[in-house]
Amino acid sequence: MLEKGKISARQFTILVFLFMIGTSILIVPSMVVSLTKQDGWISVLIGLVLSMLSVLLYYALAARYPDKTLAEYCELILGKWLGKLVSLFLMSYIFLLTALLLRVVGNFMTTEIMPETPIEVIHILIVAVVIYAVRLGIETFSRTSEIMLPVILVLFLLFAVLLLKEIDMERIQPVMEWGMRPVLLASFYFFSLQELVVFLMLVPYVNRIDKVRRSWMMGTMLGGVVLLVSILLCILVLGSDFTARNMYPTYTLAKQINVANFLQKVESVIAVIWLITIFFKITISYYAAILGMAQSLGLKDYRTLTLPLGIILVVLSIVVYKNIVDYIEFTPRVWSVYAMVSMVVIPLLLLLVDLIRSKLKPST
Amino acid sequence: MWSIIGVLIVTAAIIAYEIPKLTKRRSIRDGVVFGFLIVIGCTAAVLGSLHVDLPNPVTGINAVFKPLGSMIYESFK
Repeated sequence: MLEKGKISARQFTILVFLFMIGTSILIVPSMVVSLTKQDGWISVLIGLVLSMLSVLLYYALAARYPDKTLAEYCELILGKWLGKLVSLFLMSYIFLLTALLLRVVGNFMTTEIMPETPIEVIHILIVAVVIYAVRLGIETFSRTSEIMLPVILVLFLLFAVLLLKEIDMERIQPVMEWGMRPVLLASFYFFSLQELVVFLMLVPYVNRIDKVRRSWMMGTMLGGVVLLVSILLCILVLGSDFTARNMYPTYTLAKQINVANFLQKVESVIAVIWLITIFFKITISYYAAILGMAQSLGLKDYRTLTLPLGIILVVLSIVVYKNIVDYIEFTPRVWSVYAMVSMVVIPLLLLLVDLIRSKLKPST
Repeated sequence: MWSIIGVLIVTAAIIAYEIPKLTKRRSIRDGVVFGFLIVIGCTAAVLGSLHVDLPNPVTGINAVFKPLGSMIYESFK
């Protein structure tokens, strides 16, 4: 085993929860609302149901090999070479995902908080912390997530409560003005941004496999509720038009907080939520990609890969988009289809092949 | 100029940090993979700081998935 750590079912829930919030809370409201206007919250609900269905699929696959990671049972199911190929394809998807997540934080920091700082510097600083966390192993960053959770919950509740008096219920009407089609499209895009397939790399390290399904579902649901509340607040406070035109509407939302002209400009405090959750999302996906590569390549220690791949990660996160227009063209229109290959098609095929193989060979 | 020097210093530091661990583990495969990745990483970072256009995986993904992606977008918009 490359990783000897064990995490509890509760830590797994927290990791899924933070992973769901991650970058989604920054980019989802604008992306969904630009397609569906005031019906964005319906898309998030439908997308959440799709995510939970996908968790059932992943669990069905993981439960067949409770002590193996995705990269390991790819080889067992598909045979050595095809398995390695498929597993490296999945890991390259997760690695590219890590680079895109890094770019989202970089874009956010350079447009909203530190406009004078070069984006490379922000990327290097984040990658340095992520590499440190990944080298320390799964136990360490899972325990960190437990420490960070109260901070995130308190700040998020504060954010929601302070905005309650700005709400205008009329902004959500009329419901379904544009019909069902854009709502379905936006829920597909929402679903493609919740890359829960990454957790197939972490499942074997949960100490009680029988609790995994419940905690996976729980984390997905709670994270979905946070996203639902933030998109509802965006629509109800800013209105659908302003939300769609903003790059980071939840940040603009935090700027609206004003209690008796006394408590103002708390947006940087609220931005701490996004930074912590994004840190965990990047750490989890980087860890999953590295562990999977190390297992497919048959290395003795995954830590060897962290530093050289860190350099490649920083370079990749800079070259993936030339500018923000490239990003809007690519995410989610093209990325969603690409993500479906890794998130639905490959797990489904693995499950089918495994079912057929176990039918053909009942003795093993 | 300074960024290239920075990249080279960081690469040297990483190699100096990992070599003792690699020799202690006595796995040729680990060493080969590490060497391969560090060469790619260092080259890419140096070329990147010289503003050379590097191969971009997104171009490939666009070429393969854009037709289907645009079709989904157009038919549901």
